[in-house]
Formats: sequence, C-alpha cells, structure tokens
Amino acid sequence: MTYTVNRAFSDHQPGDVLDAADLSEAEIAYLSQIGAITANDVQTPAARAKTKTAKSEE
Amino acid sequence: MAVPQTVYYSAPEVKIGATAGTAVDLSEFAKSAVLTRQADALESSSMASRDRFYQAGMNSNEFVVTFNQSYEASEVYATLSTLVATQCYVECTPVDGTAVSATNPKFSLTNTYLESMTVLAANLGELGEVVMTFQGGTYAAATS
Repeated sequence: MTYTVNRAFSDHQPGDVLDAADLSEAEIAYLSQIGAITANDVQTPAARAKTKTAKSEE
Repeated sequence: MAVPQTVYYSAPEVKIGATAGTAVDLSEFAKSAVLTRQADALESSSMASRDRFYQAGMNSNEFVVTFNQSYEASEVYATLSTLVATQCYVECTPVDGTAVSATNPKFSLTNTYLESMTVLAANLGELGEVVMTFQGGTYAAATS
C-alpha cells in the first residue's frame, strides 16, 4: 500500500509517494481523515459494489 | 554613522498536527503567529534584601496563530478541527522554505493543548479568520 501526499506535512511535500511502512497506523488515520494523503492502489467498498452491480446487470 | 542592521520580514513557516510526524504545513493560511516561551516567576525575596528576586517555576508556553479560514480538505478546518481537546504539536520557523539552521531555528511545542476552535466567524464584507491558541507543552528550539 502506498499513499500520495496532497499537502506538505512533516518533511514530505505534495506529490511524494509514501509507503505504508513509513507511517504509523495512527498517522495514516489522521492524515487520511484530514485529506493530507490519499491511498493508492486501493478499491473502495463503494467502487467494488458498483462493479458487482454492473456485472450482474450484464 | 548608522550601524547596518538585519531586520526580519515576517514570513514564517507554520506546521500543526497531532504529532511531529503529521504536522501539516499551513503557512499559506497564516496571518500571524506568536510563540511565547514563559517560565512562571516564583518570588524568592526575603527581608535580607530590599530587592525582589524570582526563580523559575512551571513553564507556561503558548502559541497563538491566526489563519485565513478554509474548509477544503487538508486545509485549516479539516486539519485543526480534529485536534480540539487534544494535546498536539506545533512548530514554526522564522523563514518559510529555508533550511533549519542557527539563523533560522525551528521552534516547537510538543504535547501542547488546543482547548477550543471557533468553527465559524463570518462578517459582512470580510474574509473569514480563525484564531487558535495552543497552551502549554514542551518547548524546543532546534538549529538543525
């Protein structure tokens, strides 16, 4: 899992890609909540549900 | 003859977060920033002298910052509203975008307490602002 930095924090700048191992769970939770980082390569529950519905309609 | 002076043009870097590792750069919203290091003065005067004397007591550090308000993701409200009623971390350096050094020290308060936040302050014809006061915490000044 990686995260893209949206707003500068600590020593990281916008556009930096961080590995989950670089942050603690608490830091990931806080930074995600405020929008300072965005998770990459992850499918949200809403996206998965939408994909499933599309297939069933076919 | 006038002595050459080096003056300070206010352009600090301001970072605030739950911890040092999550301190978000909010410099672009800051209008003022005042970090005060204070040690309570405990009077130790006695009748042996007509002068008053004091000794350092508890540290009572404080950071007061004014931001132009913004409700966008990762900006002022989003970053600070989750910190109310918690101990958090603030840091500021005199010159934004410049490496920390002896001439651009990084001042910080660790475990400083944010008691309250004005979530809405609107006046006709004015930009919204929010003033935050962080109380207590451990003061440090780093030069590297």
